Amino acid sequence: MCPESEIHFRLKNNIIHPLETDNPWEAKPARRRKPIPELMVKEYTRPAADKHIHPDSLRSFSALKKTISYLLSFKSEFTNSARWPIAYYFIKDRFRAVRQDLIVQRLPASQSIELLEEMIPFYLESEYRCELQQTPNYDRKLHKTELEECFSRWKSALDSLEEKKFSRDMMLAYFLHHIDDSSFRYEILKWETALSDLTSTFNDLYFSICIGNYVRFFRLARSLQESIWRYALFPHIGMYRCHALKAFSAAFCGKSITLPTSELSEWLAFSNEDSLWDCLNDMFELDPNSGSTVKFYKCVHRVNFNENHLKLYWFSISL
Amino acid sequence: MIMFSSFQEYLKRIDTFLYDSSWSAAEKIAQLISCRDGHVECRTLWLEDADSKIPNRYVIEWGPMDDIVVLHAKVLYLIHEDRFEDAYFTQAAMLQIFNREILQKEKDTNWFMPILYTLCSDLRLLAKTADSKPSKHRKSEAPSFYEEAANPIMESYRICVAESRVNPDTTKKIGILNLTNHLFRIYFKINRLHLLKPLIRSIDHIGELYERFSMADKITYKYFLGRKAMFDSDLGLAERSLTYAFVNCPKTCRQNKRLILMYLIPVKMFLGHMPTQELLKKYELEQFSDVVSSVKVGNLKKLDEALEEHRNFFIECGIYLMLEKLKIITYRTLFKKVASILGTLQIKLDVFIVALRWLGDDMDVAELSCILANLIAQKKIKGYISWHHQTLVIGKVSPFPPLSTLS
Repeated sequence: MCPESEIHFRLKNNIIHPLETDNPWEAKPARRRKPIPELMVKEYTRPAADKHIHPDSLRSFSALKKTISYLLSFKSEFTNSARWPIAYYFIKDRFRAVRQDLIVQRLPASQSIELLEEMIPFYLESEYRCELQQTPNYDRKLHKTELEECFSRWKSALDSLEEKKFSRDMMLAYFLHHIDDSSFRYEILKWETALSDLTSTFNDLYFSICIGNYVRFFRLARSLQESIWRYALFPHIGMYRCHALKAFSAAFCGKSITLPTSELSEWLAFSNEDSLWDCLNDMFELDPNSGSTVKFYKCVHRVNFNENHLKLYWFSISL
Repeated sequence: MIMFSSFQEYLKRIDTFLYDSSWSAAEKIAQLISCRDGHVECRTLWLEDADSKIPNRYVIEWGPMDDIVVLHAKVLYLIHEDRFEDAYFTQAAMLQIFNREILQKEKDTNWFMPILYTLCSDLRLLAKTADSKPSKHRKSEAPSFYEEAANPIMESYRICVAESRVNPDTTKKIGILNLTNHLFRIYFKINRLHLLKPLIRSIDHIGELYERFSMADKITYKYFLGRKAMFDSDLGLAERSLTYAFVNCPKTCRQNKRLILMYLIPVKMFLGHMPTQELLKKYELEQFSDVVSSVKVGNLKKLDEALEEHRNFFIECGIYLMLEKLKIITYRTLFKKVASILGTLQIKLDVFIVALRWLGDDMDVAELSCILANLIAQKKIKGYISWHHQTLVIGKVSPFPPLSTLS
């Protein structure tokens, strides 16, 4: 998982990640950690004009596959708020190094696809986890950039293959992730035959949004069979909730009209009513202590409300 | 069709026009180096290497044009040998010479622009042909020739945009719209619509020079601008642009008018204007007939069937997804009909559910409320919903305002 030269260099200079030592989760100072060379994974290094990449430092396809599998074993730390930031950084950095090897040695498209199809689900799920847990070393923009890079490379590799061999689940996740991007709308039609019944899954979701049937959108999103699909839609739910609440505020606006928060919360798939109230307060300055019903009568949008920078509670959902 | 008895005659003809150095002369030269002109059938002009075949040939005085013309002869040779990839590369070389030796170097003059337009047109044409007939050696992961053709055309575009001179009679900026249209065609084809933005911005800021562009270029530009606006759901811009293109497109260009209508019809329908059956028949667009009639009466089931029947046609045109979005207009029409039949201002949501179920739509009251809420928010319905009473209350005055009056 790590070239000999790098192992030697990092051991000599004590550049070891905690997950490359014995008892990584034990609280102890770095100098007392014992590095385990067998656990070391090649780290990402920035390309530079004067930096020469030695062929021996490049890992083979099977080594890269083994590395990915090993890194994904740390996913189980999702639920541990103390361990997850450490695991997240480690996996992300080492995945970047895997992609670096993949690119530099120009692996065949079919192998690139195989490797990327194992990495992408991690990026999708960890985006969801990190947003909800507010993981300290999580940078939304950087994470999105890396996810987009993975998707882009995966798609380019797929387009270059004459005989298309790929995961249909991944293809649907790719389109769901870009559901709001107009340039992708027609792209999926080219893949209809390959996707077969999954195309209707996408179409149902897409047209729900088009006709403003957000209730249907969230019902479909929650019932998606594969978790990778639900995670792919996650970045969009804040925006669609925003659009839905705007519409509801216009329609349920009569003087004596109220809407039960339990209904509204269920329609928009909020994991709890507190998050719904946070959103209503954020958008309309509605008092969260108003009880179990919402009254939109004469409510106005908050002046500094920015739908392009939605706060975390807009994304509160159980996936 | 002009036929040439010899390559010498052809070269001399071009040189005569070059001596004139006028826009109209350039248009004639452009024809003589176009792959679509009748002269391409003259076998005497099919020369892979004119210099070695005719050592003492006539040489055009202006060096770069001599190089370009000789390469054109090579392109004709390669086309007739079915070597389309080589023909593309040779055409690209012609454009590169033009960019480097003429477009870049000639100052205070733009008479040669028609030649540039033809070089770009032919480059795209050859790229398309090369893509449709790839050689055995072509790697599958290589980008398409059509995509690659954007590079030299963009180079021409950059040179023109960078021109600081503003005199419309001499500025190379006069070529911007024509080149923009070439790039539009490529970016649409390769589905890179985000690349259109900076090009559109440049045209928006072109000022008075816009009036000097040819009507043909303006129509083409508006056509693509309208299509882009459709994708961006900017219906106002889409309607204005496509209407301009349709109205100004000559009656004799029937196919082009039909093409424009293919996109204008869905946009107009969204804005509440339904095309007549006569119009659809006149331009052989009967595929829209059932779509139009089902939206008009609010029949969702029939709309689904109509879209399915001509699915391939609509997908090929790139309007399938747009037409699917007409469902919201169809829902509104249905709700309007129900309201009209009942004749009351307060309508139980269950009544709409019954109508929807009859048409094969199984949505429940929550989903119905959401769709109604959207229509109210978009001002397509004037009214409000009472969840407690499960009722839609519509306004007394024009509760379903004409869609054309809404922005």
